[in-house]
Formats: sequence, C-alpha cells, structure tokens
Amino acid sequence: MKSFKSWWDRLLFRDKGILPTKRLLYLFSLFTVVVFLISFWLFSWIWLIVITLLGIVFSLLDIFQLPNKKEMAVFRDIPNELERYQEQDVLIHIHNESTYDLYIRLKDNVPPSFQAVYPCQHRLKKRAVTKISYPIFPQVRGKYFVQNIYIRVKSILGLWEKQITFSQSEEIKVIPNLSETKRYLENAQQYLLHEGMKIRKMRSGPGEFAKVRHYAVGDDPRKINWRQSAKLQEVMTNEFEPEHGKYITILIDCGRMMGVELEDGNRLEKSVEAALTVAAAALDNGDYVSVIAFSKDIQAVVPAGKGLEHLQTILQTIYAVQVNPQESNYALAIQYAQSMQKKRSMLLLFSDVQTFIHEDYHLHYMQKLRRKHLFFVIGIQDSLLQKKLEISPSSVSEAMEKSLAQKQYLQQKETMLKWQKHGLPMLEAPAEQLAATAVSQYINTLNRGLL
Amino acid sequence: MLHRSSNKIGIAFVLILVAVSYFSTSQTPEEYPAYLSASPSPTGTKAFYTYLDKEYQVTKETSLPSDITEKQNTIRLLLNPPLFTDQSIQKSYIDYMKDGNTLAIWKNNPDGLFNIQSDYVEELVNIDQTTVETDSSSYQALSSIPVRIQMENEDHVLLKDEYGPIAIERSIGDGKLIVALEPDWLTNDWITKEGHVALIFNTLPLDHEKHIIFDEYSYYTQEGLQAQFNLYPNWAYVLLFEGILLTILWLWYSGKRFGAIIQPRDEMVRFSDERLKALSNWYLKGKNYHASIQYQADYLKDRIKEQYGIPYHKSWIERLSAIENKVTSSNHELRQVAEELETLLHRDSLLKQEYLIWSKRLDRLQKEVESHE
Repeated sequence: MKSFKSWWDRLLFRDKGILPTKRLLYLFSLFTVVVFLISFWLFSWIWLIVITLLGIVFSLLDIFQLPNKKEMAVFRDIPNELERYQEQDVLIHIHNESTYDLYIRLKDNVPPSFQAVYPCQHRLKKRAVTKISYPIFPQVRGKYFVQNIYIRVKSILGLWEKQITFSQSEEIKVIPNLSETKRYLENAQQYLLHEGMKIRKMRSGPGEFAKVRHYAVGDDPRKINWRQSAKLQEVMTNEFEPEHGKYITILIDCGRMMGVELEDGNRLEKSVEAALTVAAAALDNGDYVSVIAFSKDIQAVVPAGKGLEHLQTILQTIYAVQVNPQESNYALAIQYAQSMQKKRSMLLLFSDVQTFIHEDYHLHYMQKLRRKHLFFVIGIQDSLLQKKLEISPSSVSEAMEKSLAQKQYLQQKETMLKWQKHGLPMLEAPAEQLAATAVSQYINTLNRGLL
Repeated sequence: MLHRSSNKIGIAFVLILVAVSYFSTSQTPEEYPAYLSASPSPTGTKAFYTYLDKEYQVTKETSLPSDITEKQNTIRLLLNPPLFTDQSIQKSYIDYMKDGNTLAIWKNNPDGLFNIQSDYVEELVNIDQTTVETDSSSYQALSSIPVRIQMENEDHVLLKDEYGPIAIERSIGDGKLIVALEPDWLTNDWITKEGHVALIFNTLPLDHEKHIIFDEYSYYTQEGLQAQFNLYPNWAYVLLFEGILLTILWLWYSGKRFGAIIQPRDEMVRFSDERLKALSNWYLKGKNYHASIQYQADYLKDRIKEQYGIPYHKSWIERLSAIENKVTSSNHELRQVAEELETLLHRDSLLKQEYLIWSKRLDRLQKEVESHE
C-alpha cells in the first residue's frame, strides 16, 4: 500500500515521472474512432479489451527509448548579478549520453518576475552536448535562490514523456538598472548636455588647479600661466575645476508612498537608480559618498567612501531595499545622517514631496540643519495628479477629484516656495529625468561652490 | 540498467497477455449465480435438480422456447428470472404456454411479469415463519419476502397464508402459468427445512409423463444476467470504455505538474491618487460643494496669475475684465461669469446641479487660459 502511494505520488505530484503526450492522446482518439466504426458490425467485450490493452502496451514500448536520469547531465550557466529591466540569456548545457535522439522541453526554477520564456521543443542529439538558451527579463530587485531544472524528454516517436529534475543551487541578485549610471560614466558631458546642464570646469575664484592648456579667446587673462607661455612660446592658461573631496549624503526614502506604481517599476526603483547615478557622478569626481535607506527605521547604511569601487559597496548594500508599507520617519533619518556625517555635506533626499511637506513640524528643525549641511529634496512628479488637473469633469465625483487635485497642487506649490525661501530647495522631476535632474543638481551645486 | 528495466516491462507484458487469455477463455465463473441448477452452493438448486433428474425426465435449456416445439405438455421452470425488457422474449414464453405447456416461475417479486401484480405487505417485514395452506393441508414455511400476489378472477390459488396467496395458477391458451413467491425454498440451503418439499410438490403439477425443462436462458445469455450491457447499442459502450481511458490519459497528461510550485505574487500595486480619492469621497459624502468650487476658483486664479500676471488680491470682475479679448469667450460672457462667481463664492451652500455646471464653466475658462501659452 505504501509503495503504491509513493508510486501514485510520483506519478502525479512529484518532480519526476512518466506521462502521456499530446500525440498519444490524438492517436488514442483516432484509435477510438476506428473501434467505434468497427463496432457497428463487430462487437465483443473481450475483443474490445484485448485490442485496447494491446494498443496501450505497444505504445509503452516507446518508453524503452527514454533515458535514465544517469544518462543525462544538465548544467545551468546564469550570471550571479542581473540588472533589473535588462534582458539576458540563461544558458543550459545538456549532455545526452543515451543512444537515442531526444526531444526536450525545460523549465527552470527562476521566479515568475523573471518572465522567462522557455524553449518548447528542442532536439538533443545522441551522445552529445546541446546548449539551450532562454531569455529572462527580471522585473523585481532582490536576492533569489534558484534550484531545480525540470526537463521533459520524449523520443522521436514521442508517445510518452519522461520528467526528470536536476538540482543546481544558485543565488542570484537582481540589482537596480545601471544603464543611466553607465551612460553617465561613459560620457558625462554628453549625458548632461542632453539634459541641458554642463559640467563647468573653468571657473574663476577658488578651485583646484586641474591642468595647463592653450589660451582660448574669452579666457580670463589673469589665469594666464606666464612661465609655461615663455617656455613653449605660446600663450598657455591654467585651468581650475571645483574642489574634490566633498561629502555627499544620499537619503533614500523607502516609505509607503514610494511604492507608487509608475510606467515601469515604482518610485523607489527610479529613486534607487537616480541615487546610484548621483553616487557614480560624485565618486567619479573624487567626492565621498554615503547612503542611507530608511522608512520607519533605518534600512541600509553605507558610510562615506571614495573612489569608483565604493559604488560596488553601495550597490551591494542597497540593491535589495524594498518599499515598506509604513510612513517614513524623516526626523530619524536626518538625525542619523547628522550623527554619521559630522563634516559639512550635501544631503540629497529622494522622497515624495507631497508626503514630506505634510510633516509641517520639521521646518524649524530643517532650518537648524541648513546651517551645517546643504539640503535638497528630489521627488518624482505625480503624473496622475497632472492628469487629474486637466480632466474635463462630466460628473460630480470627477469634478470633486479635480478640485481636490487643484487644492493639493496649490498647497504643494505654496509650501515648496516657503521652504525654498528658507534655503531648503525642493525639486520635482518626471520619472525618466530623475537621475539627470539629480546629477545636474549636484553638478550645479559644485559649480556654484556652495559646498 | 536499460536492459533490466526492459526485462521488467517484458515480464509485465507477458503477464497482461496471460491474464487476458485466461479471462477470455475460461467460461466457468468462480462464483455461481443464485438458483443455478448446477450450483452446489447454499444459494444453488443442485439438490432439487438432482432429485428431479433421478425421478423424472429432465433437461436443461439455455435458449428460449422455439416456435416449433415438438414436445407438448412440458413443464418449464424459471427460477428468479429477471424482468424481461424485450417484448419478444415474453411473447415466446406466452406462445409456449398457448401450445399447451406449463410455465412455472419462482420469483421474489413477480410484479410486472406476465401481467402478474403483487402487493407489499408491511406486517411480513418482521416475520420469518408462516403457516402455508394448500388445498388439503397446511405446512410451516420460512418467509423471506414481504409481498403477496394479487389474485385475478380466473386464478386458482395453490398456496396461501393469512396475508394472501403465495402461489397461483392461471390458464393461458391450452397451457398454464404457475407463479410462486419464495424461490429460496428451492435452494440447497432451505429445501429440507420446514415443509418446503411438500409445498414445492403441491405447487408443481409433476407427472412422470411430463418432461421437465430447467430454463437457464437468463443465466447464459446477454438478455439475462448481462442485460445491463445491452441497454444501449454497442458503439455506445465502445465510446464509454475508450472515453474513460481517454479521460484518464488526458487527466494524467494535463494534471502532472511541470516546473516549480508558483506562489501567487502579493498585491502590492499602489497609486498616487489614493489620498485624493479618499478625500473626494469624503467631500462628496459631506456635500461639501462650496469648498470644492472655492478650490477650483483658486486654481483658476493661480493660472491667470501665471499667464497674465494679474495679482491674487484683485476681484473676479477686475481679473476677468483684464483678460478680455485674450481668451475665446466673449467679453459679455466673461462679465457675466465674473459677476455670478462673485455672488456664488459669497454664498454658504451650493446645489449639486449648480456645482456641476460651475465646475464645467471654470474648466472651460481654465482650458482657454492655458491654451494661450
């Protein structure tokens, strides 16, 4: 009884077993039709049972051609780090050691958010290694464990199919999409030119000496390097650039309203991507960057560091931050940032402006903060609010929603103005321009020597 | 490994063949059906048959009485036959009787057989034993069925007890029909008990001249015991049988899990207008239309200031007269809107209809102002 139960289990519910194919079902239907037609002239129960059993037994001969688990070897080749929203291929190596050609279907144990598309019919040559690849498109950041590879093989005849499971544990990290960061690092000037902001290298007044170059019309004559000009018999000028070694603290809000859905991903996704781009820009510029992710509590902290390799530390620490369905505790986060960052720094808060301004009590607190640090809030423009503002009301409920959207818009505008007057600027950018706006803000601050 | 498994399958294959050939060739069932004359089991009637076989001329028949019956004056015994669904079978028995033969039927409940009707007798349910009277004397007998035969006028009662007739005789053509309840009296188990033997011989008009036929047609033919398989045409059974197999294969094919068990994703979509929606519902419930119009007017004020630089503190009449000729609405219209809006904003409450009309008016103005950018 026990063995029957385990057999039944294996047949239906376990990862291995044998099952009929669609082709067998079609053939059996055809067989039924033939027997049905014959039964108008000839019928006996014994004849019916014998011919049916014979048919099934002959179809079972097909199972001989199916391989054992030992005759197959499967290996998965998948990168350990995947970027969100970036299509990638997973390679599966399958070694068919049996003496028959086979057809294979496979399914991997990757999470549904990877949106894998598996190949449905792939031919495996006998005694050969076949490589099968399938594309994945990860949607949600985080750490995942991938274990089993499920395959179903059938012979060329293809009446019965065998399901075999192979185990290969792997840990896969889905990190934020770094395409913006890469674009910046490839060519910072072009990235920002596109967005309308320039990295100003030449500046008068205080700054760090960068290099000596040919004098160009319009350069400050006071910056002419006379010594070099005499040496080279050509007018040379000194070039300065903003000082290095400034401190940037990035605060990422992971509270309730950051979970708001956008076209692709939510606000937090965009904020994390923008934060990484700003971090890359600052690190590339030789500044120190520290990152704090928070919601009700502090979720992840990266102390200040320098050099582009620090970006990897930041990435590994914050790649899995998730939206917390609770209100964010701004006071705690800012207090924490202050205790961590004793030197003057640029505090860049990625948050929802609407939520932030509703916490009226900390204006006074922020003014105190303002004396020591440079504080910016960067939010994502609410496209739904914009749509509501422009709606033509056809019903009372629509009119009501519109009027309240208008109220919210006015209130937000007013509060942002008030805070700006106190030297606490707030910005709102459309989701796709968030990273560029944040970097521009950073460059602008450096150019103006505010830090 | 492959070799061993192929051996296993080969053995299974042979076993299936053996089983099929066994069931298809052996005609003797392991268990005897009840009342079979060859059955030595307690439910069989071998004892009765053997006795009759010694004393009288007895044959077994497994076919219906044929039309050309050479033997006249025979007795045909039917032990608990099924109800005949086929009219032709019943007709052949009636013809048989009309030719001058006797048909004796023992059946637990003969209701519906050859127009015999029976009554259900409730008192009999709890009774095991009864006293059965024949024409001349009375005997004790075991009782197992709670029905009695309904008598018709020309019927002759052979056996009866206090609850009604147990066996009757009816003339049909030249022959006779004898119907008796309690076929159990004839079984190997019961035949020697109580007065069963005497009762049986009182019922059957046995005669050394008469030929006795044990009709076992119903045990061996499809119309009898296997009648349930002939209710429908053959092709229906083929469809049923193959359909069951096909369904099993299909369930197997579609039921087997391929891939990991997928946990449904948590509900985590959030929209930024949740606050707006909640507030607007609350405003609607409180019929707070005036405040809403106020917000709309403020927004329009803001738009006009952005567009034309007209400060907030101006009245609506001043504001709208300043944008005359700059929007598509006529000056007269603007003046009218401004005046009505001034009074409207100073009122305490607003009707729903008014509210909707004013929302549309302000929206139109807003669009006009914005389109001039």
